[in-house]
Amino acid sequence: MKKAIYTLLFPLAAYIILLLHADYLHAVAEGDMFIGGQAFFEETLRTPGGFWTWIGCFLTQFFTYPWLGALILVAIWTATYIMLTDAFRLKGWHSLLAWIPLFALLVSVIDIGYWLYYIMMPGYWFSQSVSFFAAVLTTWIIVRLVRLVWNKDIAWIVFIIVYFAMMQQFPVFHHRNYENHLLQLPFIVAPVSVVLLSLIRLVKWQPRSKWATEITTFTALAVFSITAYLLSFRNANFHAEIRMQSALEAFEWDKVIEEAQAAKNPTNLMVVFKNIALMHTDRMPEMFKINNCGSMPETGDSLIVRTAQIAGPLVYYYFGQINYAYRRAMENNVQYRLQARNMKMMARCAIMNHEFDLAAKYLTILSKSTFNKSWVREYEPMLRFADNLHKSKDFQFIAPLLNEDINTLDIDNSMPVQWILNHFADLINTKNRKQDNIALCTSLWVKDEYAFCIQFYNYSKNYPGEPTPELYQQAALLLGRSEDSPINLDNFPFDQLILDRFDHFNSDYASMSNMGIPLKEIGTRMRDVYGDTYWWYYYFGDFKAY
Amino acid sequence: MKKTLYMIILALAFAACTNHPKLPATYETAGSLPDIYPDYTDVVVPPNIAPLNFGIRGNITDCVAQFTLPDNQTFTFGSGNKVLIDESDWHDMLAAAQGESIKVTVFTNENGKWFAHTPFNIYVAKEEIDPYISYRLIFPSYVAYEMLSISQRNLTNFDESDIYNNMIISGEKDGQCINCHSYQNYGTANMQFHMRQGHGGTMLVTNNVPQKIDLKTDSTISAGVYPAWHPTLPLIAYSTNHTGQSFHTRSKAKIEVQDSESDIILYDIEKNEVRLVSSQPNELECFPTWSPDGKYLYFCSAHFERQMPDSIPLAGEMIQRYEELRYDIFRKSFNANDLSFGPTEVVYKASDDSLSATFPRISPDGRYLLTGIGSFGCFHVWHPDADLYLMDLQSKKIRKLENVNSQYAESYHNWSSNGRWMIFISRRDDSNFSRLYIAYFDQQGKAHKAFALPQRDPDFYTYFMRSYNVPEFMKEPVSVTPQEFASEARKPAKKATYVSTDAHSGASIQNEEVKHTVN
Repeated sequence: MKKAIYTLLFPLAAYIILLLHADYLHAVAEGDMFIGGQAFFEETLRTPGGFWTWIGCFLTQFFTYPWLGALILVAIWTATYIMLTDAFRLKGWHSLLAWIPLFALLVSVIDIGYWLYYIMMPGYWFSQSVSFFAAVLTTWIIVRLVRLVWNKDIAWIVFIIVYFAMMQQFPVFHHRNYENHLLQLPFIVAPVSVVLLSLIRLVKWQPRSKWATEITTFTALAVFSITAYLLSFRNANFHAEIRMQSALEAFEWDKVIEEAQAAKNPTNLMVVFKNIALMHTDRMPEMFKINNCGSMPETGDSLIVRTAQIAGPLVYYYFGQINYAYRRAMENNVQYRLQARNMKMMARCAIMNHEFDLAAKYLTILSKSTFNKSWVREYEPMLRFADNLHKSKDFQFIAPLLNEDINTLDIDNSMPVQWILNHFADLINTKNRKQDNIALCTSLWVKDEYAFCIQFYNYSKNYPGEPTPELYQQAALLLGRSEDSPINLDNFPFDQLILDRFDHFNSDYASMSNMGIPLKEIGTRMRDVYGDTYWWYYYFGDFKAY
Repeated sequence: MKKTLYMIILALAFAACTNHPKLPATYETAGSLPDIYPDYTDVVVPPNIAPLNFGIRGNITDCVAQFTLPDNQTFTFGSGNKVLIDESDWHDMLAAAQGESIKVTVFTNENGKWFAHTPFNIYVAKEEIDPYISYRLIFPSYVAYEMLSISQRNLTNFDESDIYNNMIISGEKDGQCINCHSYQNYGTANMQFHMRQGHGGTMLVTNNVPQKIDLKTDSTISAGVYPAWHPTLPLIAYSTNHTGQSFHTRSKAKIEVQDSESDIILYDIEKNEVRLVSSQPNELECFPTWSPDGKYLYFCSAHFERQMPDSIPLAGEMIQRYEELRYDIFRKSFNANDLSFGPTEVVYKASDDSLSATFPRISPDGRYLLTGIGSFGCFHVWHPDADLYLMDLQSKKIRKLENVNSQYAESYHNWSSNGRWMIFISRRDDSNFSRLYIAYFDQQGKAHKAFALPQRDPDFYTYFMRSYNVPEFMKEPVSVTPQEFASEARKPAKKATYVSTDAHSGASIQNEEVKHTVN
């Protein structure tokens, strides 16, 4: 009984650690793809290590329910542990060392962070553990058979032969000109530690008492667990971005805005997500009231991440650029690996583009995966009945952004956000209020004075007599009254409160400036009072698309 | 005794493998053709093609297809919603029906009730098709190109193998694009394809020996791009191109591929020399192809003159005026003795019809010119309106191949070595993924209904995520292995040298335009 408890201690800890990364594990499931049937199997087998990849893809989809995927992964590790201890005849505290390879595999699952978007190995999250399990299983079977006739400890040599015979693909983490070798360490530690298990019996030390054994066990467990947790990628923005993406995909705008509000120092992508949510709730003019200055993501290494790969398709789609969303989804599928998220995006784009044969293809493929069937059932009726399409949330939110009669040929230079901001800031043939707001807000976002003046002029013409949102008045005060301005605002009815606040802003700014306070410091001091204004963003705020 | 036992086991195994289902005892008449995929109804097929396995759409629990031969012999196949035909039986059927037809009656079980559908025919031509084809398999992506292969397929069965696969080398940091495989006169002893980016160069195979060549010279725009082997001599004509891509915000065409510059060059394999063939100012020459007798080099060219100020780059102006780029078809006579070319002659001025013609391909008998035509541009695989047209080089009449085209793009067409079969890509299935289609071209010059390249599993195309492009007929498979190509690719490329000609000032386009009629 005690042995069983000891056996399950580390798996239990590993399970808890995995569940602490539940949002990430769910993103893993969406970032991978399994397709039932012969075609996918044969296609996967054509690549080195294809069989393990195929199994890896099959099991990775179980992370759709993080608790289930984690349970399967931990079960594989537990079985591996049991076979290792038997094959290497590990007893007492020696058996604790059989946790080392499993510790390494656990770390390999949770330490990759932003490499989630760049790793080119489909099924990575399971394929390594499954192939390792298979090597240990084969070793265990051979050792057991040999023991029937020859009672020698040959497990280590059998393992070396089996491991190298089975391993066909070593995980590589490279993107552009950067390669992270540190992330490969678990895949060296795991097999090497197994080989070293055969030497541990040379160490004669044994705990002197039952208590000493238990203290040793729990200390080892604590060391393994805490180390694994510390080595995991726990960057708050990385996890927030994942949650925001999930919320956006489900049209849960409020959740997106809540995440943005909770973030102390959001990434620029989180700012984009927040503004998408505001845009689709007709609150885009509030964009500068919630932090609109983001930072570059902290990747933990020298990996330079790009929106194009992290969320390019999603950002394009929610700005109504369905051709570009489709393109990015396809490119990411090809350049990195097949992903359910991208397949769904391509299906959605095809539906919105009325390419129903194409959409049917993607839906059929998605229906061959285990956990996307309900998603397919939701979208499939849109192919057959226009009514279903028109009632859908996709249509409700995306259709107003489509400019059916305007087609331009352009290049985004792999910078989706920059392209979107420039595209909308310069958009002159807007079709509705939603587009008018986007055009105005993006011109302010990129601080394009001329574009704003043109958009503001059009807005005033389109909505005469209506109250002008506070943001536009703030911007018009700042940008529309300059000498270079192409518009005349002498008779524009600004709200007195806004005029007064602008005067205060200018006087506060001037007084601090006269005192010789550096610009950055002025920005910090004025943020509490004016951080919700466009004036503050214009002078002190920064948004760099990546 | 042992021998008898083996025979019994073999016979049992054979019986188990070739399961011929029984026809339903009772059934109702459906009164319509079965909804089968791929669509093989009333197609003309070669007598050596792989089995036309097909699936049936609809709420079907079981099916049986009865194949009736001209001598009234019958075969039955089918299970579930698929009709998978035994290869041996199929080839027996084709042999028995050569020059005639096979009648196919499909019975389907829907909700426990059997229905007999209106029969359709599969016509079996007398003329065989070349036994092999090769093609590039590529995701229909725009810029990314992982998992690319140039593959070869035995048309008489379902065997497919890689000629080269870019993942052999792509794992090494730099990605590698591969394209433009081409053969001399349907043989594979002399062939070529290009590698771009990582380990770049042109992989030239002569007498089954591969060697990597660098065709870029200081005097040419680029290395060789679209190739055309001279049918008999060790010469390859290439276009050289500066190619760019841009993307439509709303058009379903999604992408526009344009050349901002392009010329035609000739590569002399034996001397390793490159010379210009056509490099006219304001002309974008492209898509060279030889007449089967090697006496003419056909090519396309678009006339483009700058209108915008110099502050706008040429590529930028071309993006803005993309719908004005239209390619016409020309040819030049060729003197093999001194490798010189005659003046440029107009073959088809597509731009006069507000059309753009690409990829001219001359039939092996020299009578017809097959070309891909769209309303503008040169990369028709992304243009839904692109169709195949046929010009009779005797009558100079050009016509759209009605039986062959679809509402989506058709492109990358080629003739079989006997001129009786055309192969091309079509996006008719779903508008975005290119599939291979084959059409019979009879002696009267009529193209018949095209059929999809048969696959073992009828669902193959639904799940297959890569596109086919540049299908080329071959008389035999490529004998150089992918590993041999990879090994050669890792070596430095042999640099070609440039030989000066008068192609810059070359004779201008003759005004003796050949009269043509568009039907």
